[in-house]
Amino acid sequence: MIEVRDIKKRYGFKSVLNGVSFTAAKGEITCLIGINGTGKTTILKSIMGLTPFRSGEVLIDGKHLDKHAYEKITYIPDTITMLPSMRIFEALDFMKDFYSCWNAERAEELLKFFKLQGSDRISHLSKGNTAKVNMLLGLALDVDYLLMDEPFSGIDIFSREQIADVFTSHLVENRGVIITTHELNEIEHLIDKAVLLDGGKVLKEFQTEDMREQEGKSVVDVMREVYNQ
Amino acid sequence: MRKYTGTIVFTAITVIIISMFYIGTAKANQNLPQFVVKKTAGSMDENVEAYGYLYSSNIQKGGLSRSTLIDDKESKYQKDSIFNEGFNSDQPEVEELKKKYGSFFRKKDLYGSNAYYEDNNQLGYADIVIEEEKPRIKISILDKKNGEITDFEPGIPKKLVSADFANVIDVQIFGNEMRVMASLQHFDKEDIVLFTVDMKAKKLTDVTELYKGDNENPIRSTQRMSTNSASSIVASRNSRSTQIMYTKSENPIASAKHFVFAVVTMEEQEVDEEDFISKEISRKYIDINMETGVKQEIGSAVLENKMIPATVDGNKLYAIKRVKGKIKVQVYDLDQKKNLQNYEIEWPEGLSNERFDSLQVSIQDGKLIMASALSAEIVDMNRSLKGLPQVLIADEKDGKLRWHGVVMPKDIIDFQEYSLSIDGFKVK
Amino acid sequence: MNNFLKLVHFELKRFSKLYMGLIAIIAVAQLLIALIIVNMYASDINRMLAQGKSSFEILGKMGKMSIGNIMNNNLFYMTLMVGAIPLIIYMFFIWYRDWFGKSSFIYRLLMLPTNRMNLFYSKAVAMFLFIFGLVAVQVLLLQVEHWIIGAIVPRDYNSNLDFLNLIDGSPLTVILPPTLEQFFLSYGVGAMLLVTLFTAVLLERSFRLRGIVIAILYCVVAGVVFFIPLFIQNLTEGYFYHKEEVWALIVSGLVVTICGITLSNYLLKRKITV
Repeated sequence: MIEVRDIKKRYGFKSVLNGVSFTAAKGEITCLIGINGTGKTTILKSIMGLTPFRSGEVLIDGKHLDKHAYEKITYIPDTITMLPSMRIFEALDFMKDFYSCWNAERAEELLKFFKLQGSDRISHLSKGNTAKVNMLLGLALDVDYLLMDEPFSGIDIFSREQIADVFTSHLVENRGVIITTHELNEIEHLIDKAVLLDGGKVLKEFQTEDMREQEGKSVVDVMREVYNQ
Repeated sequence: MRKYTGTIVFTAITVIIISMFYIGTAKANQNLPQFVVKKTAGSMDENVEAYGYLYSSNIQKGGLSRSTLIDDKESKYQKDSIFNEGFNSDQPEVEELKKKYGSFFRKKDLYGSNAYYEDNNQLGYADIVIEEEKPRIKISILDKKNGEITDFEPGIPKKLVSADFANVIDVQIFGNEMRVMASLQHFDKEDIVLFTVDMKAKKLTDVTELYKGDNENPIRSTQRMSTNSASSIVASRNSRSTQIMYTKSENPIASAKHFVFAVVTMEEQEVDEEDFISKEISRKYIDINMETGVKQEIGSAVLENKMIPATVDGNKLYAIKRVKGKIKVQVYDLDQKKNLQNYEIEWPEGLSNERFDSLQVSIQDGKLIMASALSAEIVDMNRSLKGLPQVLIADEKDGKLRWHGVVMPKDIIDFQEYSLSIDGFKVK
Repeated sequence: MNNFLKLVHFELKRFSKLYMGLIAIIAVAQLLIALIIVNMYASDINRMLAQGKSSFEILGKMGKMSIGNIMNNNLFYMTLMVGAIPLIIYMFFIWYRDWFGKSSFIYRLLMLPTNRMNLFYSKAVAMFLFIFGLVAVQVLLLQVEHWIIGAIVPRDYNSNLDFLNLIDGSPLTVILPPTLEQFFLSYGVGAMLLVTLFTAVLLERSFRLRGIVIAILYCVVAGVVFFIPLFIQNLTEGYFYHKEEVWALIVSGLVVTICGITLSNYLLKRKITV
């Protein structure tokens, strides 16, 4: 389980995170929801140790972040995390070299699934294909937790369908996923937990199934309620 | 592993090439030429050591330069290390003392042994500070018996000192008095002054003017060197310049009762457009008794014509002149003011003018030592002994030759690649 | 240790193409300059011989040819700059290239399951390998230039002096100090400078705009700390002996280096931001 406890962060004088707390369990897809600029990406980076926060703590399976954690959790940001001059197979080699939890077979499987060639140069890929490679780099790792930042933003519709398929497949099963998006359409039905953010705080945190069964509300309904106040 | 070959090869080649370079320089350093001091005449068995510098010539700028110590068996070169303070030929005595009395030498000027004094009981040091506010002498005394260091700074009355810069020439201690002979420079004027300090009262008790430079004949340089170098400095308006030359003593730190220096006035005459000849107009010798503070002029009444004071030992002054390839020596007692001896020394293998001009004379243990440190560059094509640095040791009482030696290369080397410059000789 | 070596290999590889190009440029430029200088000398000799001068006269006027003639030439010095300047720029760029550009490779580097200081050490080691590589190339070039002189200049006019002895006094002593001891001291200071520079970069990357000010301040403080022994010497009117002064500087250099590494460690683990 990923536990985020009361993290606060400022950029200069502007307070971005004002005491954010939530949890994300393994085996569940947790979605951070909020308009642009509410700090969703910042929360993900904070969890990954890619940006510092002033106070609060983040626990991953009860432990603070250390170098071993990167074999248990990975982050798929909205930019490609490899050198554009690399060819795809070189990127895969790099991952294999450094991560003991790299699953080369799954990487090959994903390559075929996304219809990409190992010899393609990353800088020559379209935006959609770049996003797919990025996703591949994350999914081919046998990590317990996946953090994805706006996986659908700016992607063409066919690629989006492919990516959405990933979420229902064995590729994501049993893993804890935190995903941020401001477009719920594709995945509302996939989310297990929703965390609504505004003004650097968590306004509401709930299990989607419970909300549907007990109050008959969809995620969007709750959003309307909460954000219109 | 295969994909790492590039990195491994690159790293290996780089390390190998640089290592080979440094192995090469280490080897080259070991191949420095060997010189020895070889005895050529005399019955005495002495171990004489020469110290100086080896230079590599034929290089555009700079090049090899190593301190060397040459004895009868080999040349020792100082390792080229930044940790070495360098056996600076100017002050091997100070280096020796530093080993024994380390902390005394802190914060002191280590580049001239003139400022130090040593006898059986104490070590002394004096430095003159001319600052606007308070000109003073910084004095430091180490009592050898109990290791105590006493520091005090007697002030110098401002009106006595209109100088920008002061240089200590000699320091002596007799009884309770310390005498500091100094050169005070102001613009192009220079005065030689003797300060007397009462060490008990820690005060300056006397200032005696030994020589006063005047504007007519400004001094261009004061050099501690051999007796009579003919080199002269560029002149002033009147094209006259005055040079002060000190007789060199074997050990500037040791106690010496007399100090003799020469005041030479030269005039430059234009021969043609670019050529000048320096002509000596006047020359006088001044002796200071450091114990009593009394000065006397040593004139022609005392010295034979053209005799030049070379060194002083105790109260004896040794003057020399070149007579038909031999050296004539006059020994004069400065206290009793009378001649003691006169004798001639024959220089083996002949004595050239240049060699005579470069002679450095000193007295050690009753021996008269004359060293000619001509650079080994001046070698004629046959590489005869005439051009090499030489030392002659004679009995100071009668001038009888006891030892003569030459610094020569151990093996045949190409002299044109190197030049050897000898600063001095030491009899071990 | 393994990850560190892998990262070193990675850093070397990604710069290798530009690096090879740099070596090629330097080599070609230097050899051309050497050929020009040697040929000029040879033709001067021939000209004077044709005028009827004796070899004694000629040698007296021009001196024998040695590799010193090349090493002390201004153009030669410029080829050294051609090597030095790109490397100095790369000392910054080796970090900044991971942040800028379309990708953000720094994400990947910071998410590697390895001690983050390995990023620091691997970049530092890679920089040093680049520097030493150029130095090694220079040594080879000097040997080739030595042979060129031997091939073109007639024997009587060739002093045949090995460049090993001649480096002293030429601008090459900066990169090739005359003794091994000096080599370690000089490059030790270089390592201290590199660590300080890297730390400054990390300060900027951690604090952005404020970071530039902090980085500059840090460099100034580092410089002051390093020179403390000299300040003490000045204030106490020369209390230290020369040997002690050298040791004191070695210690202060180590202090600056270790502080830099410690600070960089802290920054990389707790303050760096993408």
